[in-house]
Amino acid sequence: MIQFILLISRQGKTRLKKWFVPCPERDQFRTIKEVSSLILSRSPKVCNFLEWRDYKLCYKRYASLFFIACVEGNDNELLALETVHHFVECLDRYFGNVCELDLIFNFHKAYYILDEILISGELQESSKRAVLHHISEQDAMMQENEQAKRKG
Amino acid sequence: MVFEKSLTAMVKGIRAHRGKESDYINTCLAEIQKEITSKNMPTKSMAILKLAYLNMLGYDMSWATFAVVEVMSTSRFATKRPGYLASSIAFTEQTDVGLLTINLFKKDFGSKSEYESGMAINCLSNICSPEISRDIITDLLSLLSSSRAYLRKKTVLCLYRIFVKDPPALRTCFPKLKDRLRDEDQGVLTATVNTFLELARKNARNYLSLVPQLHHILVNTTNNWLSIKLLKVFQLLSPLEPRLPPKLVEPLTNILNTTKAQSVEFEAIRCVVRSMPEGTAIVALAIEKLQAFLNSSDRNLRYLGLDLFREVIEKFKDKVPVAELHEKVLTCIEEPDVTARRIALQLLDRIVHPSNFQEAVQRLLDFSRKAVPNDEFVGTILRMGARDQYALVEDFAWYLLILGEISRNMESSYSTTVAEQFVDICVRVPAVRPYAVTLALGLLESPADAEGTLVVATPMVGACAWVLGEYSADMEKPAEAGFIGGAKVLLTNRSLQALDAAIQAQCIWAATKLYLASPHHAPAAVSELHELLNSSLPAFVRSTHVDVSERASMVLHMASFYKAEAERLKDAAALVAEPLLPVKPEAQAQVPLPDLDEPFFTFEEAQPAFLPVRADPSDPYALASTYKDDLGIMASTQEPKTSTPAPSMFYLGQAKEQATETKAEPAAPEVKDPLALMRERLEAQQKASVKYQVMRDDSGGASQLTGSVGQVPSSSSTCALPIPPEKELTELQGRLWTVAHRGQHVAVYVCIRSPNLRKRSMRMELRCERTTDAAVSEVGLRFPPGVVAQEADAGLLRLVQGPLQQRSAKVKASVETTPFTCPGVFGLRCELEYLVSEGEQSRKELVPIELQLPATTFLVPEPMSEDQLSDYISEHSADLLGHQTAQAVSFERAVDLPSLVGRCAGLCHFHGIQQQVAETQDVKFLLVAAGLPPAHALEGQREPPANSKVICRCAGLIRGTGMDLRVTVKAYDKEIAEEICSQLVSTFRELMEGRLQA
Repeated sequence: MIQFILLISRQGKTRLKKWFVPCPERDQFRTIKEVSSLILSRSPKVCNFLEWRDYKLCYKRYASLFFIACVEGNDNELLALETVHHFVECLDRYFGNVCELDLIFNFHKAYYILDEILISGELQESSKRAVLHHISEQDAMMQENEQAKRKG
Repeated sequence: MVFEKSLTAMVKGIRAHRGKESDYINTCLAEIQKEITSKNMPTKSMAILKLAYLNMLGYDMSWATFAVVEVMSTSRFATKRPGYLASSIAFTEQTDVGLLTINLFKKDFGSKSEYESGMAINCLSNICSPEISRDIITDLLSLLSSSRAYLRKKTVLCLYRIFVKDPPALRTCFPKLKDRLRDEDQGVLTATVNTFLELARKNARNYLSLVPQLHHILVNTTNNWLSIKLLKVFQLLSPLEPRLPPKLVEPLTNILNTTKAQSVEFEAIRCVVRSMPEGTAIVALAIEKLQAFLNSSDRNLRYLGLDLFREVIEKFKDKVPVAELHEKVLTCIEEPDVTARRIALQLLDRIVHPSNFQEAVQRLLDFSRKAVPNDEFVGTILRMGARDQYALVEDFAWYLLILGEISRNMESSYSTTVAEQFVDICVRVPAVRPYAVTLALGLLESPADAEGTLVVATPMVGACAWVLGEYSADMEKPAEAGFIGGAKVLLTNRSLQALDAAIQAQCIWAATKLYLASPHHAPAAVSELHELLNSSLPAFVRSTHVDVSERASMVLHMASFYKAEAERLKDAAALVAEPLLPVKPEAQAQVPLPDLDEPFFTFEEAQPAFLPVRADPSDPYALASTYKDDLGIMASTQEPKTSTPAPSMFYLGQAKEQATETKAEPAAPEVKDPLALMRERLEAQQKASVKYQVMRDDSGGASQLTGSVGQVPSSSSTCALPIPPEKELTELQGRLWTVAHRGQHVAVYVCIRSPNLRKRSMRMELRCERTTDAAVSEVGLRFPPGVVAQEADAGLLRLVQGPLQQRSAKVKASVETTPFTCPGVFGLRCELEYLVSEGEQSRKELVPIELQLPATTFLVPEPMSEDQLSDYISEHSADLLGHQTAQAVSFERAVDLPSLVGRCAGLCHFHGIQQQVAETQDVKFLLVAAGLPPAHALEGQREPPANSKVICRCAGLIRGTGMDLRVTVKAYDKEIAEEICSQLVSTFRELMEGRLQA
């Protein structure tokens, strides 16, 4: 199962962090530092997997962002990359040609989408259409609430 | 609320304050702290969302957890959603407000909106603790049978987190969870398999009952995500259930042949490798598919392929066709990816084979020159080379050349290993030494910059120096140039003094060994080497390293002692004569600890003896001339061996010419790289296919070492007589040839060596001479029954095969000593057989002869102190020492008596004690010996009585220039006493006037 997902910009800024196993905040920041320096220093010619402690880091770079998934040693690395790609595609459809700025200003939306894709480190929805459907319904609920508030 | 600021505004603000973000964020945090206390839920919710953003940038939000719960509890979705988001980011199971959420979860699980329930489940999976789990499990279970797949899916996955926190829950939930394997929704099904996979990772045995259902799903699904997870589950289950792998063959073959998704294909291959027995068709199919991964253009697939191949090789070992793989792996070592490269190197290490080892090493070496951190390649070369005592290396000269090339890299962390292997190979592979010596010389002399700095790594300098010194005998002929060149580079290179002390000492000693060996191998270079030592060593004597200085001054003294005199140097060469053998690292442990009670001087080893001149008592020295003839025989038979060097593939005509050319024209401007030269030589030599003998067995240590322990010379005891070392005695014995038989056709000479007590055998050397003009051939000697000679064939020892020319070569016979127990002269009755041809006719002659064994041959020195001896004499004077005989002999010149008697005692197997006689020049000695340990005696042998000893007193009286020796022998038998007495006297004569003169 996936231990955590990180989105790190090329400059080393965290754009999203999500742990699926309990992890104290201090350790989270230490891990982010360690992992991002590992990944950012890798040449683009090398493969997308690296062993890290007892885990494997599977990462892929999309434009200026590194999407990093940390999986257990006996997990399928290709599947982890596919999961990451699935997430990226959902983001892309939701925002329409997604870029880093979208994620900076709408970080909470990225989390909402991720929550529809993964739960407790496992994939729950492999259909992009279904994910977007769920998200748009929830967004609509937010809107209704807003309108209700204004009316009220 | 004046401060209220949207998330977008805050993010924009942060971006606008580049450089002073922290100031800006601190003001934002202050605002948030106020907003959080607000009664307006949307404001509060926005504050929480902003706080969650800041948390991502590294700011603490644990202080706001209560506010988060408040926001989560609001009824409006718009405010609730940020609350749930913040909680999943900020809460851990330790968060104390977590318990406040239980009722909230229960309420939201029952919400009309599936999204509210979904958010609650999401949050629960993040923050659940054992307490929360116990309170919530029933409510969660009810969601398992929800009509909405969306919720069932989330619940199934969330349940795993619950089980981790609260294992007993698994028992109650298992039946309901198992039902989900029949769920018609693919998402729920995948999620359930997922949950079971994670559970199986904890304890697979519990889930064997699910196999039929899972198998059914695997056969029917086309969902890639699901297939991968199922394959994972089966990898865990198949080792536990032997009936499972055969059932999987069909679906796995299907997947391998049809799937287009590489992740599924890879997982299927991995499943086959891990769960299928070797030799099956499906394994072959999987390996074939795996090869395609290695060929892939995608580096990820290549990496995974290599990694899995490592597993394949480990599991199936020899059953994998590695030949094609080899080429593949060799390409992969050039992979720019460090991880993949490391795996490729490990893989190469496993699959390399003597036939492709050379190619692999060459590729590694070529690539190591290109890559910047090249140590891993070099490390792999060395690791592969040294494995199983160089099992992979077929051409050692080539491998040494590779080591030489590696050692050119001064920075390599493996330079010590390279040097160790270089020396190790030279020790183990005698045939490669001539090449190694030339290579070592080349490396040290290799052209460098103007300063003359050495261009090989420091440890290798030491290794080269050692090889030059130790194997100087293998120097290319004519050796003079090599000896002088070697010594020059070892002593005069300027950069040498900057190296480690140990290396400098090695160089000095190597040069010394060249000097010591030069009389044998390069006689013309002796004086130049001597001068070189004298001129260059003072610089080392002044070294600040004590051991270098010490070594240099010692050698300087040796040089001034031996000078350039070849004859004396030859003796000194014995210092370094013993060859080194490979020794196991743990050999030291096999040497037994010394027994501290043991006396220092034991006489376990028999001292050498010789055959006395008994043939003609009136003229005891008549045989001296025969002996000289014998020397002639020895010279003529041994000369061919030493004068022509063994034909070796290393001495190539071409190479020889090169050497002489450079010698003739020292000013030749073009200097070739020695490694290039050595490579040419190697190529030339490879045409003649080389077979190397490798000493792969290390000597065990114990057995070899005891041999040398036994040889401790007795010299320091106050009363024991110094017995010369065995080597000297053996040399003396070799001079004592005697005529055993001189007949009508054939004469036989014999030389008796001292018996070896440990081996219980005695060596005798025999040669024959033709005393007639008739043709004599096929000479043999038949020992009497009961006497066994190792070399004899059915009791017959062949002395000459074919016709006997004037004299035959020396023939050795090792005779077992067990039948001989009695001291005294013993005539061994043998029969001489030969064919005599006169004209056409040839007839067989049988002549009985008697080999006279000297009276002292079968004595053993009896180490006793003077007190013990006097006790023995007083106790047994009547019974065991009842017979006494004495002889006197006088000599024209006087000698050092202790050394004379010592040599005599050594040759006659006596233990000697020197008696002090005060205030006179006279010296007395007591010699004592016993018979061999009892055994079954030969005919004509009387066993000596138990505890019997032979005691002899020698008194030396110096008178003027000459001296008198009086020898008294006491023994249990009159005849034996007389025989031993005359044997001792004749030995003294031989030592003083005869063949054994110093």
